[in-house]
Amino acid sequence: MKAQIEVQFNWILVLAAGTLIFLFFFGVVKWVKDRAEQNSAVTVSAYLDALLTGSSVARSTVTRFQLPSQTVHFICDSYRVGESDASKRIRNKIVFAPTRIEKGSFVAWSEPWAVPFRVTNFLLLGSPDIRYVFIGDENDPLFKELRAAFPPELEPEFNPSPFVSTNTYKVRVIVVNDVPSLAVAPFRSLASEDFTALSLSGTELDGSVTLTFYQKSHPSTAPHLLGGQSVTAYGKAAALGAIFTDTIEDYQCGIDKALVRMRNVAAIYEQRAVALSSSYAAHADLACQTIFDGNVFASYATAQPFDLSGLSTTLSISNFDAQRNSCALLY
Amino acid sequence: MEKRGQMQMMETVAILFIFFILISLGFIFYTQVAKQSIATKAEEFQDLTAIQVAQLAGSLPELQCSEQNIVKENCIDYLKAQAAPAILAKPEYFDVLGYATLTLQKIYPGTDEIPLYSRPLVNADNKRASFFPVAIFDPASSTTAFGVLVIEVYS
Amino acid sequence: MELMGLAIVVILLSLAFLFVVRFVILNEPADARQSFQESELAANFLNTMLETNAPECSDATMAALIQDCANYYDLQGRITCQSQGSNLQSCEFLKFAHQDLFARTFETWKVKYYFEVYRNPQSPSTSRLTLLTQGQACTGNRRLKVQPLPVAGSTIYLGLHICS
Repeated sequence: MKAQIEVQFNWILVLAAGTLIFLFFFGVVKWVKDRAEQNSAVTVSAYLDALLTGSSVARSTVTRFQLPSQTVHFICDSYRVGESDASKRIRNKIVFAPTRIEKGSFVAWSEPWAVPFRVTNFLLLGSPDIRYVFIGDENDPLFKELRAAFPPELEPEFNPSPFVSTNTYKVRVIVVNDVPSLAVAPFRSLASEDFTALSLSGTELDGSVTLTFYQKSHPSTAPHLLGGQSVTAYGKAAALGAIFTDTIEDYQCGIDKALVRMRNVAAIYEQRAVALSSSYAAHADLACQTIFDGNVFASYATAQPFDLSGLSTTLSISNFDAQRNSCALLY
Repeated sequence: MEKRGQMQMMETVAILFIFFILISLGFIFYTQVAKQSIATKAEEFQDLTAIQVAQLAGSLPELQCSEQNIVKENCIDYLKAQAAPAILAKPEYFDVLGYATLTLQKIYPGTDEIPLYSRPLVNADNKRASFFPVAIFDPASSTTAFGVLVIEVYS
Repeated sequence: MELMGLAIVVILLSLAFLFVVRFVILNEPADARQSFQESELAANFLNTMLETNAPECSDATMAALIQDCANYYDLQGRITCQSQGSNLQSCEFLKFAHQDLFARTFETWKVKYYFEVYRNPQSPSTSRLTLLTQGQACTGNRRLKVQPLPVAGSTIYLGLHICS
């Protein structure tokens, strides 16, 4: 009897000890996994930062890179990796990106913004896993320009027929010189922020373009496009930036940073022009002095995107005059 | 028999006890190594930051030589450099350059020193200085001088 | 039996410990910044030096002066420069100018270097013609940047060695 109880007790003890050991190792493994995930998020964040810096320094380049499979969320001036609560500021870089990029697959397109002097590089972030659909007249000059400029790494579609869901997690529709009137029903299950549209109206990317942002209605309601908020963009990079951002707020966030930068660069060019004007005055070079006395750069201090077309034309003409008169160039 | 059973039990418990002590020691050792690995990685990232600042400083339109937006690499416009300090002192450039000092030294012909940007970190643990030869182009005289861009990054 | 098992565990842990000490703790971290700077320094220095205008030589560029020195080496160059109250031919001027330039850069930064301007021989039997040298030849590892410069009928080379 006593032996039977002992045997039973022995088994209970073994079970208890085994459970404790199992729990211990389970705890250790979970702890290591959490640390590894955090480490991975930090590493992804640091490498993304370095890659964004490198891409933004290079001009007019398209870089494709693969990071560990984590979702990166972009919100105005910052980004967040995975489930981490901590967000990292994008700081100096002017980035146009969708609200999130999944699976770690990135395409970074750096495009200089010139008004007409070069201000900075815009960094356009996309992913081949996001569906970019262009709809427009094949003979439209703006449509042709977009078709030629858009990087093939992003696998864009031009006037797909039929336009049906292909189970991508995000769809971005760009309608050129038209109002979006596409069938949204096949994409009913997508969240509002995952099916967005942009209407681009203009004649060329380098000039002034009117941008109108649309979003799909909530999945619980009848599927249709909402929105219709418009904004003017000047310059190729500014027009392209709108293609990569889902909302007008995120787009405006990037443009506001760019305008601040533009004003600073213009202020430097203004002082440079004043110094050159004095130098030409000292050498009695009236032709060059007159060109540099014009002070076109001062108008940039308060300029908005819709002013830039006129200012840019004036400055380009003055620069051409400087070149013709063998003066130093304005920019 | 009883005593033998008890002895066996004690032996098992003792072995388990020692085993857990070994696991704990191993765990403590692992965390110490991980700590050092993190410190090394942090230093690597600081080095990357210094390189980033050097790349960014060299590509600033506020300083770069350019004609009709065709950028001349490795060249700083002298007149832009003279106007730059007041602009680079603005808060938005802290996001670009961080805790650093940028100085443009003209070496030949003649000498000059323009402190372009100065935001040192008080009580910094580390200071990394880098020197980059740059051409200094004066658009007024259309001549080029030999200069050095000194970049000190604090961490 | 259990003791043997324990002994094996201890041995395995010791081996793991040895590996970690050798490959993690004793591993020297790569100095990315130093490597980046050294590679930029050599290339940037030569390119910048060649574009520099010398006001003493009617704003001729250093590249033009070096080409003139190479083309007319027997005459020590045909371009005349006004330096410190005296007339110097381009080859002579370059010696002083480079001495000054390197003193204010590499020597101030305490970076060991070796700079040379040379022309490769036309035939194997002729020795290499060295037009200009500065610094001490590197004994160990180095980063080398060579910039060719066309001259009449051939090419001269500017070599800058950054010693590690």
